[in-house]
Amino acid sequence: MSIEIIVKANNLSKHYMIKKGIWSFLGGGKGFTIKAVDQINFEIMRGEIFGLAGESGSGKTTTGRMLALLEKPTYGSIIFEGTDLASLKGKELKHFRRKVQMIFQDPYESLDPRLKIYDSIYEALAIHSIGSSKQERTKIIKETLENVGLSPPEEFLNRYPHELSGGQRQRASIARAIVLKPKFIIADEPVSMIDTSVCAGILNLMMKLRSTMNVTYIFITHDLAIARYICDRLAIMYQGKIRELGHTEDVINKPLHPYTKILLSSVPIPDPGFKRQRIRIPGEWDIFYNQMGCKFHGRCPNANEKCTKEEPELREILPEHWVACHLYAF
Amino acid sequence: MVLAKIRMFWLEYRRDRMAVFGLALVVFFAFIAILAPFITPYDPWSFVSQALSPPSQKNLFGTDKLGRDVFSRVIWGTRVSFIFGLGAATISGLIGIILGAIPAYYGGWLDDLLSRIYEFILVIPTIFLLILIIAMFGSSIYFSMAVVGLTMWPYLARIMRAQVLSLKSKAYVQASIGLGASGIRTLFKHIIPNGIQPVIANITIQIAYAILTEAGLSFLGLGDTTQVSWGQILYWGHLHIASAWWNTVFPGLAIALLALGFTLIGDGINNTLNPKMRESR
Amino acid sequence: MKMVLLEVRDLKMYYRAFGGWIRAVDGISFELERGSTLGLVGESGCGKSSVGLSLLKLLPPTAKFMSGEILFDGTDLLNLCPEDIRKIRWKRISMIFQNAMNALDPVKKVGDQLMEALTVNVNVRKDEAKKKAVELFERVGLSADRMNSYPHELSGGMKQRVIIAMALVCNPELIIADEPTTALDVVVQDQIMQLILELKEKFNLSIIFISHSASVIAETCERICVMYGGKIVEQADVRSIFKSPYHPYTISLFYSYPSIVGEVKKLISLPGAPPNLLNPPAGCRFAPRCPIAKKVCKAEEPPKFEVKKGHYSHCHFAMELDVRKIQSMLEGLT
Ligand SMILES: Nc1ncnc2c1ncn2[C@@H]1O[C@H](COP(=O)(O)OP(=O)(O)O)[C@@H](O)[C@H]1O
Ligand SMILES: Nc1ncnc2c1ncn2[C@@H]1O[C@H](COP(=O)(O)OP(=O)(O)O)[C@@H](O)[C@H]1O
Ligand code: SF4
Ligand SMILES: [Mg+2]
Ligand SMILES: [Mg+2]
Repeated sequence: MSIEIIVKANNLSKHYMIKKGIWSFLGGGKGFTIKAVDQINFEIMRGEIFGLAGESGSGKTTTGRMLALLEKPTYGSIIFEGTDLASLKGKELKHFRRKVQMIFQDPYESLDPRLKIYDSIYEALAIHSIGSSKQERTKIIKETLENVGLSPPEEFLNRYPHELSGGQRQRASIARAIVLKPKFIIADEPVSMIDTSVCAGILNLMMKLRSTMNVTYIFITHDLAIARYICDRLAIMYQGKIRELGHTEDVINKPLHPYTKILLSSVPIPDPGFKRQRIRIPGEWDIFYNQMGCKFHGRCPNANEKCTKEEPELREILPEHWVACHLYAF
Repeated sequence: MVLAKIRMFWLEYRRDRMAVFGLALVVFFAFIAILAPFITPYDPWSFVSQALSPPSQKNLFGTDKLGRDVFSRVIWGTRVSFIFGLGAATISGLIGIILGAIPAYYGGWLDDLLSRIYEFILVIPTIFLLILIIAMFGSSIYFSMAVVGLTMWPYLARIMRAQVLSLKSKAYVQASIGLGASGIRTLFKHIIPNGIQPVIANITIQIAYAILTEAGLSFLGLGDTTQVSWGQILYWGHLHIASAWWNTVFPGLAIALLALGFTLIGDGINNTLNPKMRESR
Repeated sequence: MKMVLLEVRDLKMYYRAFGGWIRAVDGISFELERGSTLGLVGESGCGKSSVGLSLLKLLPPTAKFMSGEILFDGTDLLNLCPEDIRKIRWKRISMIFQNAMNALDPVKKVGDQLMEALTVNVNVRKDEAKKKAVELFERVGLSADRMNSYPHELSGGMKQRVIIAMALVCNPELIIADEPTTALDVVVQDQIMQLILELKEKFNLSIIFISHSASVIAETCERICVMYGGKIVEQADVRSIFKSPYHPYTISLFYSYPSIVGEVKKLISLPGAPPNLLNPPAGCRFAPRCPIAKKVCKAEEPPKFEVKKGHYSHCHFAMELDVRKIQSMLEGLT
């Protein structure tokens, strides 16, 4: 099997200028910049599930939105199947929209409350003129609902989003996305707002779709247990930058970055006999840091002099295992 | 679903007694307007009795200084006021929704410019603007209706704009963009239908405002003298306010009640849609 | 010697609704020992919060206790008049409400909100309240200058600490923590869990921990009640139940979420939906979704079996359950 790169991000960055509002107490009167995503680089191979993990505010959603062209990068570029997304216009852009879909975090907001499930999915078909008649489109919609586990489809076609449970809504959103037979799906925390016992079904569904429809995913999550279950490779983000990147098992079992280690040591284990080694963290974890050097040094138990001055670069320390940390800088 | 929603809305709405009263008032006047030809005893333009005769069996609301029946005139005036109010509010609504929604959705300089424009229109006292325009370009009732409509839309545009800005980031709107929907489709299919309710509440209130404005303009002598509007009746009557109170009290009352009716409905819709406001009342 | 602080016996609490009663708490019994932690776990809508709110009798007017007893330190709370309940509520039993951190008043400083909770519940003067508030802030790991912050200036973890401080104002004996770490980031979630356990040790608190996450319960509780459809289906010491669950639902629950350690197993997702509590199925409520259900399950409510000492299961086949087999059956269903 040849490995084909489907998506490539080059120095991808998104900076927000904050003028006023709730951030003003941090920056004083004048505006300042939030580097939501700051020069990140990665490649996603066709057919894989690429994980993006990190705490809230680390820039995961912003990255996902840029990949879906819902947001324009401030710097850098995204290459999708060999084409720079910045160059897309008109017909090509529409074609891209068909091939790339996004699944959103909040199942209560991702479907228009005024539209029946049927109409929400129908819209996707109508936009791309798929299916020649209404009957044909209805048939496609039914098959898709069946495919995402909403069966019998007749029972769901005429329901409104508020008549479905969180898990069912998320399945309906997935149906709307896959009805276009996309090649690449950006899933932004698709299970973080639904019940833990329902989330397995969604995860298994996404894995099934990967094998049946050959979709590639970028899977955004803050939960490393879920990342471990579903992702082939995993990137850990912190404050707009990728801090560690590698095969999921390597990142989880042999973490290199101190931040990854802290994250992993905080995950609760469903086994009362297991005693976790918690890492002691200096200072208040919750405080907003934005300083020189490695942005993590204020929280890092291993920080040294160099960390306060120089920003470390992402480097391949072990085969296919990248880390941005001065501890590995020799 | 739509029916169920309307039913839900009504169940909530009818708990607000004042709003129900407002609706009753408007429905009452609407019937009068529709049935005007059948319930007016006289032609509103013909001289039927002695000038300025007080209310009597023959002329329920008395007569004006030309001997015309005030009762018939007030009833005919209902039509004019309705048309004026609805017309002006429709113009204002259409412009307000379009100019509020589209620039807000696309952002950029056009949005900035339009925001400045309606901030500007909002701070200048509209009545002076109206007087100026009507004094310069004539006082046909349709013309003043359009002008009144054109001065009111910024209020609606501002509300619509705020709605669009907040709905734009909703996941279902983002999903629609992600599906490849055009901006216009996203706006008209997802954003406007989900954000229009407060605008509708305010359009209702603007109907009342337009009716009052028409009366005000007529009162200042800027009304359309070829129409039997409540404002016109007032205008002709106010000269005799001391000797013939019926010439002003009845049309005045009608104006006040209909305007009150629309205002109460607007408030009622607002409160029904926005339970927080209801609690704090 | 162990002492029972709270004993709930056959508690039934229903909500009146259009078309009947929602049987949110339907015949629940458990005991809580002084100084211990008990976990209530189950998917959302199974009645966990309703149990917590029942213990404080903080229920909406549509709620009604149908039967049962809540014996707190020997007195039945259900028999107490509102006056006497107020002497217990917040003073001896307090609660960290689900989503409370998002319900902080946005226009008041958090310190003032805490002092308000103090002056309302404890008879103290203003200056004393201030001193006590500072003490409470330190106790939950917040620096005292955070008292002058508004909620939006605090992170989620800090807000949750404020909420915990509020639950502590009267030095209660029992705290009911309803999903205290849900919606927090993993590091902060861990810190809050640790804080609650530290406070428990320091002040010999008893805690009822409500969570939909088996992992959180596994790490925080000594005893665990698994709830399904308004009932407790299995109840045991936490080690015993994680070693060998004795109810098909518990098995599905434990294998429905991945872990960061051990081998990666295929997750189980139960087909079907939880029961409608307005009109629950006869017999075992889990029967419609249960892989091993037989005729008897749909007809008769399963009795309580003591499968091991202190380990109870409400399943007709509790005594002959084969975990492996059920697990593979469930996998087949997904
Ligand atoms: N539209 C925006 N304007 C200003 N700041 C934003 C905007 N969107 C996101 N941010 C900021 O960018 C950072 C990253 O946000 P986000 O990508 O949503 O992170 P995550 O998804 O990892 O939680 C946060 O600090 C957030 O406040
Ligand atoms: N105030 C209420 N009125 C009516 N029904 C309620 C109320 N609160 C909860 N319920 C119902 O009771 C059941 C249990 O809810 P809850 O105790 O909140 O469960 P959990 O905390 O496990 O998610 C659900 O079916 C819910 O819909
Ligand atoms: S009683 Fe029957 S239906 Fe209920 S869990 Fe046991 S086997 Fe399944
Ligand atoms: Mg996000
Ligand atoms: Mg709950």
